Amino acid sequence: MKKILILTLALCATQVFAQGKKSKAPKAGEAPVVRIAEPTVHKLKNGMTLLLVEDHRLPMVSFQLKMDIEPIDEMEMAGMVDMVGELLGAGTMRSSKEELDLRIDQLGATYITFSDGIYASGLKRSALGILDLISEMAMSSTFPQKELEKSMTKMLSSVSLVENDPNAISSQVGDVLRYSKAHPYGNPVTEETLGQVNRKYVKAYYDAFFTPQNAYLVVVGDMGNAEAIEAVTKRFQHWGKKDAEKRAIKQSSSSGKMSAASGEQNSGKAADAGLNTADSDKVVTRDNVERSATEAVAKEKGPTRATNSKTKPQTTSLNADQSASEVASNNEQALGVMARFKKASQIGKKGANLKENHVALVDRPSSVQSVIDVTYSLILTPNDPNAMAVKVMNGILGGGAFNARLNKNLREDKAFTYGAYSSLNSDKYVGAFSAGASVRTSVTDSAITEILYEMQNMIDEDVSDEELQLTKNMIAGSFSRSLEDPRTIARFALNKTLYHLPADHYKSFLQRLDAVSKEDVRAMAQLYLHPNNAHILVVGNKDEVYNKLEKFTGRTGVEPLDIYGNRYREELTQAPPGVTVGQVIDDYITAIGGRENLMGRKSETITMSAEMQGMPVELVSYRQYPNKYMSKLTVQGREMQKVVFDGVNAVTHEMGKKTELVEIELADVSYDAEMNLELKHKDFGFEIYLLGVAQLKGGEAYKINIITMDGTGIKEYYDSVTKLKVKREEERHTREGMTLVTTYYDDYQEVGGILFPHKITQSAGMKLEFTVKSIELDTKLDKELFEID
Amino acid sequence: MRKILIMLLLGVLPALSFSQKIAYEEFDLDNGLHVILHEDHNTPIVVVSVMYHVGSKDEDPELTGFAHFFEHLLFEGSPNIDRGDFAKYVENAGGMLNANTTQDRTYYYEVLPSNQLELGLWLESERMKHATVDQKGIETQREVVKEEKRMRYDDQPYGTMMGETMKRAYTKHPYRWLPIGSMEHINAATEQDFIDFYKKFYVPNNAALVIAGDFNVEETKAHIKKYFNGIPAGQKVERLSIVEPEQLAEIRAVVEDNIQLPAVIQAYRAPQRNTKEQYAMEMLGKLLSDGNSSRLHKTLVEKTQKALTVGAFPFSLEDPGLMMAFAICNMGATPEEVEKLMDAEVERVQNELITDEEFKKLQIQVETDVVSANRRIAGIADNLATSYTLDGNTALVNSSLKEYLSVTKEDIQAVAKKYLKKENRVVLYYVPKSQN
Repeated sequence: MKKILILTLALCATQVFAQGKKSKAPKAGEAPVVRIAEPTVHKLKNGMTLLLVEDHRLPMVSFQLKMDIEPIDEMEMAGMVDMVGELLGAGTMRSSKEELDLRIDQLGATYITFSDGIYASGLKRSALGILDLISEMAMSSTFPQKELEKSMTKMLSSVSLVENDPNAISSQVGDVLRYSKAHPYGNPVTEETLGQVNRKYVKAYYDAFFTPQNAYLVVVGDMGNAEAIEAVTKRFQHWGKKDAEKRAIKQSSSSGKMSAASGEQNSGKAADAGLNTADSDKVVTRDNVERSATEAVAKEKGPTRATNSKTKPQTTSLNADQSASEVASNNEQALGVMARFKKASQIGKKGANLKENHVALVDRPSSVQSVIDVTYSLILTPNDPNAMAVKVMNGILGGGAFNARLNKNLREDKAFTYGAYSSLNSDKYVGAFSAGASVRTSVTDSAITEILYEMQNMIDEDVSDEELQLTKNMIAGSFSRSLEDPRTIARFALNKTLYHLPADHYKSFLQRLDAVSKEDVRAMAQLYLHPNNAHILVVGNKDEVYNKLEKFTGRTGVEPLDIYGNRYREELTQAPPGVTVGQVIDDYITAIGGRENLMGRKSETITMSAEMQGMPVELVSYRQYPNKYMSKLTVQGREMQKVVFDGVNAVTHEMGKKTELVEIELADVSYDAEMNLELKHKDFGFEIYLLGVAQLKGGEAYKINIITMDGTGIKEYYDSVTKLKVKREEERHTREGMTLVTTYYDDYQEVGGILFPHKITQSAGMKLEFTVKSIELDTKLDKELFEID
Repeated sequence: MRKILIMLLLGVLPALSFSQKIAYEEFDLDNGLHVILHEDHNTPIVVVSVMYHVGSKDEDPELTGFAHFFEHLLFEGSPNIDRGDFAKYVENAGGMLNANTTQDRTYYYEVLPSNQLELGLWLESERMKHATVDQKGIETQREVVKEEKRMRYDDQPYGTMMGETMKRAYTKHPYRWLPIGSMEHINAATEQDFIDFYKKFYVPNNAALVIAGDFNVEETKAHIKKYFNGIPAGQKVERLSIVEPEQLAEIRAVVEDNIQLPAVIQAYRAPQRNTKEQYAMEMLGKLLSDGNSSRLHKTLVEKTQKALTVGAFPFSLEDPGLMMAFAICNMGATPEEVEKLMDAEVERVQNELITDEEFKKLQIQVETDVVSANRRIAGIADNLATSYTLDGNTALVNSSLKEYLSVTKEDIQAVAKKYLKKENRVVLYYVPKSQN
């Protein structure tokens, strides 16, 4: 008996705009009635729950098997639970992987397996065939070692795909930051953890948790309830009996040709049980189940092997295949194996508990956009009374609406991004907030500022009536549209059970939505938005964004992370024996022209040009032996900055403003004044060390650390083959604080017997690619150039 | 007893059991706007959509990306709709809206509660009659589209695959550029360029209006007249018919990308959509890569494990398109060995007729696809609009399955022989940047 609840969709179409226009938006007609049907619920004796929704509009049926399994902390074997999902369709007692694939395709079915279930759908005439497959996968998956190895290769490849996908990196590292690695949600799958995954645990997980008590099967579509109950009962009623009984049942109920064929290859357990009495399409009665189950147990105890000659040659390999797993051959033993893994509810709940914002940066040098995620975990269960008001609050901030604040601000007003969104997800164990966008590199900091501003604004001010109503209308509309799909009704029923929702949770949805007030929204923002206690994760080009992120951090500074959320460390290998830092410098000096050649220089004038936001930039630097220096930066012909060092004092002129440099800044300029600083390390009192061999894009390079008198560390990289300097990283002191300047040197060309890099790429918050236009050596330079007036 | 029950069921639910055939009504307004109506009262929602027969292939080669750019621009408003309010009207009404652009057409749609149908008609009529095409909107959307390109193509591993393929597969035909187009062109375009494009293509005689879902036909017809009759017809849209010259030799290239795993792309010139040959090509695509038992998947992913994933997709376009096969190499596998295996599978189809068993499998797969395409009312509206606009035959929504099922095993072999030839293809190797 179908119960139909009738609700009136009260959509108050507020006509607040469209005033003073020639043509006005038409008024809405009478609000339609929204019906929420109830699914039929049927429970099997073994505890399995069926949820059924008939829908005869199309000749299609869909099945969803959902196992209610609490997440576990996989610890060192992250990926093990995923592997269960990978292998659910990789072999059953009846069919090998290849046969399963063929059976599925011959049914024209689409299907997908998960670590907590299976979804499959197809035409009505394929429905029983699909149900056969699902029941086999749920009850008698064999997890063949060969298939596990295949899936392992696939998962390893997938892990490596993440390395280059900025969104995948953001999501992976975001999980680590939000939940921490100690939580099942935050433990990333790596090559290393996959190496720890083995069949014993995969099989034990399946045996422990794939039980009828945990199982919900949702059947939606062109199949009558009675027919569905009968078909499901026939296939699943013996689930949960001891393994041996199950084997017997499977064997006597599985049918025909396919079964015989697979018996040869894969159904080792059935072979052991020695009950290859396949009788096609025979409904298993209680009687013969009990009988064959007893037989099976008897067979297993004794040394007797299968008498079926076909299966015999296979026993050895199959046993080898299963040797590790026999430990976990039943549910209790499997639960024992699983006991070492903590469950989500045992780990303890943690909400946002950061004292200040934490900025993390994953370097992806090729990126032209930054993927930003402002995120933290929080406690909000689906049955929390706040859940509805929170949904409205997030809808206004950055939910699906085109006009939600984040998208309106970052896309429509500022054009920083293709789309900016936020989500605030409830979860049985630990929920999460996340707000972000993919923005062009140059506006990374501005975008973060705007996101934090919008979060703060939700806390500080009431939202407008207009946007509250719009968001409510949108949520109501989306709720009503979702009812077009009959699977929604089943999902509602499933959610009610899984998340312990009140009986009228969905029936009262629209009323509860309507009741949310401005005050509620602000209260929710105050409770759940934390713009000063969030992780701010950026995946992008480090050279260009690093400096812009410091302003968002507290004392901790920007934390560089790798793609697994570990603190980033450059991988250095030890330099070959005999290579010393002195030798690296000497080799470089020799490579560019030799000490004598360099020492004999009187002056140099280097002119370089670049482009900055479409404008031409020119940088000219003059150096006069022994230590005079002047550099001038012009943008579009206008002088922007000039630095003069007369050997003792230094000044800068910036847009007409003159400043004298002292202390560290003065020292920095005196280093710049050197034509070849490498010759003067000792004179300046620098300490230099060889750190090791780094892998750069162009190949191996020796990395050295130069520590100046004031303690600043400069890192330089020298190519191990050409001996040339290829990269330099330096923390410069500026009035705004420390700025990381990264410089790459390319395209060395000879001028007057000395090699000079002709392409110099410098990043300090912004990337500039300089091309050397001219180098003049030993010309007579005007003394006035270096005079400080 | 049982019989009575069945009769009862039939008596009670007659409307539900025969709805597999999509009933519709279609007519033209005086200004040339084609209207298609499909009634379905199952859920109180209604889809209002307009398909304009303009895609990237209608663009000036010096102004590419225009059709897609308009997909953004035409949410900016009209003299009666302030900037940004277009979406607000729809969302306030509890509806959703979106749009998409392909090489051949641009599609705008709203899904609304059924009492808001008139709003949808008004919005679409405003968009057709006098959309705001001004500097402010152009400048904002320029930047937004650039971000879209950065996100979807530049920063996406393998994201440049389509572009790299198309620019080699076509030399003359406008399919040689993608709908996203060139950012330089969009930057250089003037306000007048945009206005000209709007006036040329966004006219009633180049559009199909589809209403599908819960509505009253007579009342709706009156509303359609009220909102659309007053929109003047534009000039007849003259389409350039550029015929791509036959390809004579295989084209090969290596593309470096920010990826870890190499990939192989083989793109064969294919027939145009809705032809006997193209239906056979689509079945061939299924044979090669639909499901785990399909030939490429079985050989490359399961048996040899040389590939992480494979696919073979026929692009059924209005002018002759491509059959694109691709494989992402598993760790340790080389593009050379992967390509060899792909070639071997193609040769197998060419040399041996497929078995009845395998053929039956393709037929049930295609039937499942065709039936599930009508699962949602929004899907039905899209199918109606596409069949009319690109195939010139709305009735195809009900007959396409027949077309697929009339393909024979021999037809599949024949198109494999005719089109999947080396001299008819582009082969790309995607390799990690650091490798060279």
